[in-house]
Amino acid sequence: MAPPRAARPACDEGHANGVQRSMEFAEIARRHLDDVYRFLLYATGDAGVAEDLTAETMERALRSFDRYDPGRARPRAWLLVVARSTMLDHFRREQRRQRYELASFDRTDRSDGPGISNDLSAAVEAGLHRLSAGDREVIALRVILDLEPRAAAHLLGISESACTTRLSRALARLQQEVLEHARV
Amino acid sequence: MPVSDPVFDPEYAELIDELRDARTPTPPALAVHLDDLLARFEPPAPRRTRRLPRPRRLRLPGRGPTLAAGALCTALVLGVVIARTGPGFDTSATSSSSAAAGAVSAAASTVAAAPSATAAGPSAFDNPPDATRAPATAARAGGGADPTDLGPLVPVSGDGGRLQHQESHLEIALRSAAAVADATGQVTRAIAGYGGHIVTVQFATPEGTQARSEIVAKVPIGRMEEATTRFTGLGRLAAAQVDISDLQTQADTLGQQVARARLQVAQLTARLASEDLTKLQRATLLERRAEARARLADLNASVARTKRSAALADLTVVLTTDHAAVAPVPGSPGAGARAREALDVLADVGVYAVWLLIVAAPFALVAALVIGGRRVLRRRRERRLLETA
Repeated sequence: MAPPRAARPACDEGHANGVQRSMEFAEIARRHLDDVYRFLLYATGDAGVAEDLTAETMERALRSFDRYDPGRARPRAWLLVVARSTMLDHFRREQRRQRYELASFDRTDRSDGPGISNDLSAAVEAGLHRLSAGDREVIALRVILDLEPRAAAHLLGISESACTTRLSRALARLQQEVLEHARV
Repeated sequence: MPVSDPVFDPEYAELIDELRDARTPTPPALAVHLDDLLARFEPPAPRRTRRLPRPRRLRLPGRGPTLAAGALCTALVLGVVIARTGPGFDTSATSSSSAAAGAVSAAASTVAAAPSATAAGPSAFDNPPDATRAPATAARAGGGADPTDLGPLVPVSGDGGRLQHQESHLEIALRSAAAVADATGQVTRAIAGYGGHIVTVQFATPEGTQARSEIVAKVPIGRMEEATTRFTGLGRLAAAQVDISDLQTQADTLGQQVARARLQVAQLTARLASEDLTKLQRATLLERRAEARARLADLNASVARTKRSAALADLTVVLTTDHAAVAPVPGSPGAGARAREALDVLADVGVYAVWLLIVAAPFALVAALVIGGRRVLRRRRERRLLETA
C-alpha cells in the first residue's frame, strides 16, 4: 500500500488526525477484506459482482469512517453492515434495470457466471445459486464467516430466533437442492 | 450453544463442513484496488473545533435520544421558569395572585364607592347608598411573603373628602398559641395607640397547641392604613375582607332635613311672636314648634352618628394558629423556608412534567408508531428484495 500523503506541518492537528484515521482504516480494511469479499461472494453468488461490490463497500466505508464509532460496533461488523447496504443497493439497481428492460429475472442464469469456489462440489454450487440472496446471506454470515447468532441477527436487523429460523430454512433448502441435483 | 442452532445440527454437518472448507481466495485485484483507494484518500481539512473523543465507559446515547432528551429538559425548564415567573404562577404565588386579585377587587370597591364624591346627589346613583357596599376579599392560601408587601393588599380608605364607613376583617395565621397570645396583646395596645378602642376581645385555646383570638375594635379612619399594614405583618395573612360604604349621601340628606327643621322652628317662633294669636292658635303653634325641635334634635343626633361612623372604622382581627405559617423575616430566609421553596420548585417540576407527559404522549406515540412502521416496512422491502434476488 502507498503510504499516506506527505505530512503537513506538525501544528496542523486536524490534518494529522485525518492521516491517523486513514491509517486506522487501512488496517481495518486490510484485516477484514477477505471477510467482506466472502460475504458478498456467497450472498450474491457471483464472483464478479462480489468483487465490484467489495471495492464499492471499501469506498463507502472510507467515506463514512469519520462517523464510525468503535464503541457501537466492531470493525468487522461495521464493514459487513456497509457491505450489506451496498449489496441491497446493487439488488435495487438490478431490479430497476430489469424492470425497465422488461426482462425476467432468472436466478439460474447466474450459475453460468464465475463460480463461488472451486472447492465446492457442483451440487452445492448449483444449490447455492438456486437459493435466494436472503438465504445465501444468512449462510454466509453464520456458516462462512462463523458469526455468532446474536451478531448476525443484529447485522440483519432481525431477532436472534428469527435469524436461527432463517438459517435453518436456508440450510434445509440447500440440502434439498443438493439432493435433487445429485438425483438428476 | 443451544442444540437448536442449525450450525450444530448433525444433519447439515457434511454440508457445513464443505462450505467452510471451500477456499475463496480474495482476488489480488481487490487488494490493489484498496491500496489505490487509500493512496487517493485525502484526509479531511483541519477543523477549528476538534471533536473530543467520547469516553469509553461513560458512553452517551445516540444523537437522536440525546437531542430528544435535551429538548425535553429544555421544555421542562422553560415551562417551570415561565410557570414560576409568569402571571399565572400558583402555590406560594397562588396566594400572591389571589391576594392581588383581592386587592384588585378591593380597589374596585373603593372605586365603586367613589362616584358619590363627584355625584351631585342621590339621583346620581342607580342604587341607594347601602348598595354601594362592595366587599373585597383577599385570601392567602400559601405563606412566606414579605410582610411589607401585605399592606397594599388591603385597601384601607376610600375618598378622604367624603364620609365613608369602613369595615375591615383580617385573619392572620401564626405559628403557635403563644404567638397568638402575644399578637393579641400587640393588637390591643396598638389600637389604643391609634386612638381607637376595643369593642370585644375573645381569646380561646380549644386544644393545647391551637388558639384563636378575635379582636373587634374601632379605629380612627385615618390610622386604618397604618393599622392594617402593621397587623398583616404579624404572620401570614390568611384572609382579608374590606367593606366600604358611602355615607355622604346620607349625610347630605340629613343636612337638608336639619336645615328644613331649623327653618320650621324659626318660622314657628316668628309666628308665636305675633300678638294677634288666639290662645288656641298659640297652643297649637307651641306644640308644633316643640315637635319640630324634637325632630331637629333627632336629626342632629343622626348627623352625629353618621359622622362618628365615618370617623371610626370597624376592624376585626382574627388571630389563629397555623404551624405552617411562619412570619417571614425580611432578608434572612431560614432553612425551612428554603426547603419549602425547594419543594415548591420540585412540585412545579413534577406538575409540569406530568402536563408535558400528557400533552406529549400522543405525539410521542404517533412518532414511535411512524418510526416503528417505517422500520418494519423497510425490513419487509429488504426481505422481499433478497427473496427475489
